[in-house]
Amino acid sequence: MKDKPKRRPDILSPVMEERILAVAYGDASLWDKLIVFQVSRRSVKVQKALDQARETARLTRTRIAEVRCPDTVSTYLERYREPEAPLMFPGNWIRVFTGTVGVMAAATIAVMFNVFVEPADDNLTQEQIELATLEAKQSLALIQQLMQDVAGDASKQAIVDYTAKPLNETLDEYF
Amino acid sequence: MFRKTTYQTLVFAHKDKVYRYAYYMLRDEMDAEDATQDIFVKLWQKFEEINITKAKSWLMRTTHNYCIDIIRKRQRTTDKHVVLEDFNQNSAQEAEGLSNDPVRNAQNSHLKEVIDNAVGKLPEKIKSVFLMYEVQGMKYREIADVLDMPINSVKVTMLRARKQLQEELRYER
Repeated sequence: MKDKPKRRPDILSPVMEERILAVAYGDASLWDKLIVFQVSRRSVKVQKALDQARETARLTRTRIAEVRCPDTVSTYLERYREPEAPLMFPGNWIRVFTGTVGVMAAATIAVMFNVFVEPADDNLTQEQIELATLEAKQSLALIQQLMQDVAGDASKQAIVDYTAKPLNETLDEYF
Repeated sequence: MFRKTTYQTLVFAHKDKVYRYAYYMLRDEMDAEDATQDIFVKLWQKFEEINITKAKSWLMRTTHNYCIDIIRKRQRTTDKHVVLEDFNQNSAQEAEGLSNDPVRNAQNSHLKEVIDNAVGKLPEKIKSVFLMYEVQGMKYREIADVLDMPINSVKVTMLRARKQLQEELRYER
């Protein structure tokens, strides 16, 4: 029977190396974070690799963030601006005219509607009143149901935002 | 008016990212400046054709293609090729963040050089993925769309980039 090849103590498995890198760069899954956290507490090798990977990630990100576009480029791009249209420009007059006509038309329709619509008949029968009450109750019940659904969704979102995310971030800090 | 405001917003939001990407891909400050200018001029010219909600992807794809074109042109005309030493000098000349302590300045400057070179030395494809992820903050799926490659390949490439950087910077600590 063939002997199983012994694992060298100074070499990490590829999967563990991948997990450590993901944790160091802050995009590991919660499961990977937990595994690395647990293993790093017992293994100096893993802890060292994690520290090194974190340091590399930090240095690289810091350096990349330092590289900034020179102001000369922004100044050059300033010239790519549309000229401001003056008030007397015909295009503006067309807009003003269209807007005014639109507002006047809307006002006219509103006035005509108020003038020509007949007032509602107030002499309702008892059945009509009961039917209207029932319909109103049903409508309110429907709205209540909707509000409850929305509240349920909101509380779920709150659990994600105020519980899961902070927990994740705290674990990030530990790693 | 809307066009001007939107354009200026896009320039403000993405100019550093476009510049950084070009800087590390082309490994030359002047070329990176030219690239950033040209790409934003192109954005202005094609503004009506571009879907503004996807402007970030458009900018990244255009920057990537622009840099690849420049790199290929350089390979054809070797005299314009920028060697690694030049990139080192350019980076070393940066005056940002200098303190009064000369030893610390020298250390910082050296570290910047090492990191710039480590990123610059990454193979083209690996570097593209790494920069899109780290510089642009793009997701794996977005990178896969821009570079037209499977999402798993993006993940594997990203892992390779990190491993290589880890190796390159190991001896600097």
